[in-house]
Amino acid sequence: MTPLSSGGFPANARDALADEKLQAALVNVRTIFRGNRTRAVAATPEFEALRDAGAAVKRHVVENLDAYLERFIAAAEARGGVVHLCADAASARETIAAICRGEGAKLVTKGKSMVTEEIGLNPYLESQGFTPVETDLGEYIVQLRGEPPSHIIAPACHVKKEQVAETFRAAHPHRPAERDLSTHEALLAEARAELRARFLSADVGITGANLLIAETGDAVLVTNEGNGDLTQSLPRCHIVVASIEKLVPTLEDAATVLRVLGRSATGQAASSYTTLSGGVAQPGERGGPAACHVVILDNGRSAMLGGKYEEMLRCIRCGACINHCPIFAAVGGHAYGAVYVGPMGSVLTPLLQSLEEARHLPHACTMCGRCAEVCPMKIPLPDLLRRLREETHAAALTSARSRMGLRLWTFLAQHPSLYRGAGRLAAAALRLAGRRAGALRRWPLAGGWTRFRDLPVPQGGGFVARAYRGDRTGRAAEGDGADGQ
Amino acid sequence: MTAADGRAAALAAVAARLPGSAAERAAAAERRLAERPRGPGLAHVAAAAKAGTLAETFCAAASASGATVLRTAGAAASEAAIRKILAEHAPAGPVVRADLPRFAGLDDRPGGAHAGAAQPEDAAGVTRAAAGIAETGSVVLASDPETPTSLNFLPAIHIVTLSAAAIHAGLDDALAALRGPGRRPRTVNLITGPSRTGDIELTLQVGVHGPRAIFILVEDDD
Ligand code: SF4
Repeated sequence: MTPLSSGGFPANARDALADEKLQAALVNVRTIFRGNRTRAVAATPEFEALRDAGAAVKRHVVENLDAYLERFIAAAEARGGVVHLCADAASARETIAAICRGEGAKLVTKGKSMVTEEIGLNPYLESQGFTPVETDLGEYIVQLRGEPPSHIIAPACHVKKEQVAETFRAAHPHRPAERDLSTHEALLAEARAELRARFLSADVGITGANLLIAETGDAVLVTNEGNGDLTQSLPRCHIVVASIEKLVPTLEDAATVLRVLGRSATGQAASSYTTLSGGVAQPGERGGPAACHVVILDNGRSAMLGGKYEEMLRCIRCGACINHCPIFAAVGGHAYGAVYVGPMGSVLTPLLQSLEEARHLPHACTMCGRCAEVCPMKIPLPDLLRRLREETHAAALTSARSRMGLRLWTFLAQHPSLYRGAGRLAAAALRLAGRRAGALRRWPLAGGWTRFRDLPVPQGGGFVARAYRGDRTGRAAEGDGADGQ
Repeated sequence: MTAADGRAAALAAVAARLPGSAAERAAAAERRLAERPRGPGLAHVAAAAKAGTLAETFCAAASASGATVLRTAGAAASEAAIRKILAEHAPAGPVVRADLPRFAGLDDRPGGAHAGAAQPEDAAGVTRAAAGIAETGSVVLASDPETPTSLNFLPAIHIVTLSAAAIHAGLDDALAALRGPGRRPRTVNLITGPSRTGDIELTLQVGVHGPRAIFILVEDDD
């Protein structure tokens, strides 16, 4: 698999913009996902109230997280489960591998889990002699292609169906070469048949969890395919991998969060399968795992508690911010070079990995604010991104040139008369330079702007000058809203 | 470091950054766990509960989710309907059924029926829901000894009976009802429509890993 590197964002983004297949695939994200959510929200007059309630549940959990973790551990273990709290990715990987070794496992089926992507579980399990098989259709496709997922809820949304067919031909050589794989139905039938055999022979099943209910010790798993259920109910051992912020206090709180999750993610009032499972099969049950482990990961999250990024711990990974992000829609998920993509990823990656490596991501944002508008947990994503920008600046991770520019601007902004003078001077210079075309192709220090578009020549006086004159009808008010500032 | 040490260290890392004292946080958590406040419910469901039309609301929501919904007059009528569905959708294949006396009559059908866990070759699963949810059109299935979870996922055709009297109004009502005396079964599935995926080009496809079709028989009391 290509190693992920968020440091390459600028180059990755350029490549992505030039990739015609990717651009064709991304059209679906823009139209389908957004339309589905819009319809579901419009059909739910209570949606705003549910958002407020859901955000309040998670705020309360975050503030009392140790108490709920302890409560969850007690409840899950009373039902025969074993709970492991892991400080970092390495300890989580090894905990999981040790469980697989203890089970004498070979084949390990997996439901879609972003936390297992975060800890790099598959390569590690392979290095330890296990065979992990992804069973979510999208994850199966990207696993066969040797790629990371490009979206947290639609891992293969960057792949066209013709590419899926190529991938299946290469991966399933035991099937007749001349078979027809030109339709969605044919691809689905082949995946179903291939994965059926794995479900039935797996020794261990690994799934993520959308929620952990402290009161009952249940892990809640939401899927549409049913793969998570076959993964967790057929093998003799089930391992749940989840991060510490997945806790909710009660069954009622779980209902509140579920009500906003499906609508925000896929526009469904309820996904096909919402499964609560806790501990091991009870006496008399026919089937179900005899062993159940819950691996709860910290991996940098506790360091966010009580700090300026704490609000990010409310995230329920619905993907709405990603689906509404103009940057994601333009470059897709792989450009981010990270497990978490889009606005939520641009906040999480610098915090969970390193600010230096991920320094470009907080800048990959137009501050249009749509992510915060749609986030069911009311996370102020643009504010968090702005704070991260300030940190990259303070840590001197931005370019010397942009820092010099900002220093100059700061100085001028603190000296109003100089600012006005400099503004007039700059406007006059721009007018002079762009006299003929009305727009500028190039301007010193504005390369980031002029590389992709023209810089309009200022018309009339500046905003401040006009405000002083009491001019409220000026042209400045007309066109400038287009960027959605 | 032992597992217990790891757990204590991880809990301490969390506790160190939280406001207030550990005792205050434990008390806040206990309060919420005792009070179990509800979130906002959906008005149209509350109205249906008041009007006594939850079964209709359920049927509409379940149909919208892609399930085929039939209303029957009771267990005997359901059995006739089940035979008809099986004759059409799984004429010769073996059938797995819930281990309940009411379904034992199915064993003499062509192709047979058996109780217990589902087998890979089973063409259809016939089972009984513990409850339904009007808000979402979901059926609630518990992994009790009579109704193993594998019945819900392995066969391509899923047939579920549901007593109209067991339909809850909201998702929160249905989840709250899982609380009760005695041990909970390991697994509770809330199932809403057939297995589906949008993973290839975000195009909705039905029947990826689980059932391609789900039939829900809403039974009025005998
Ligand atoms: S940040 Fe908000 S919108 Fe984005 S995935 Fe998380 S909960 Fe969903």
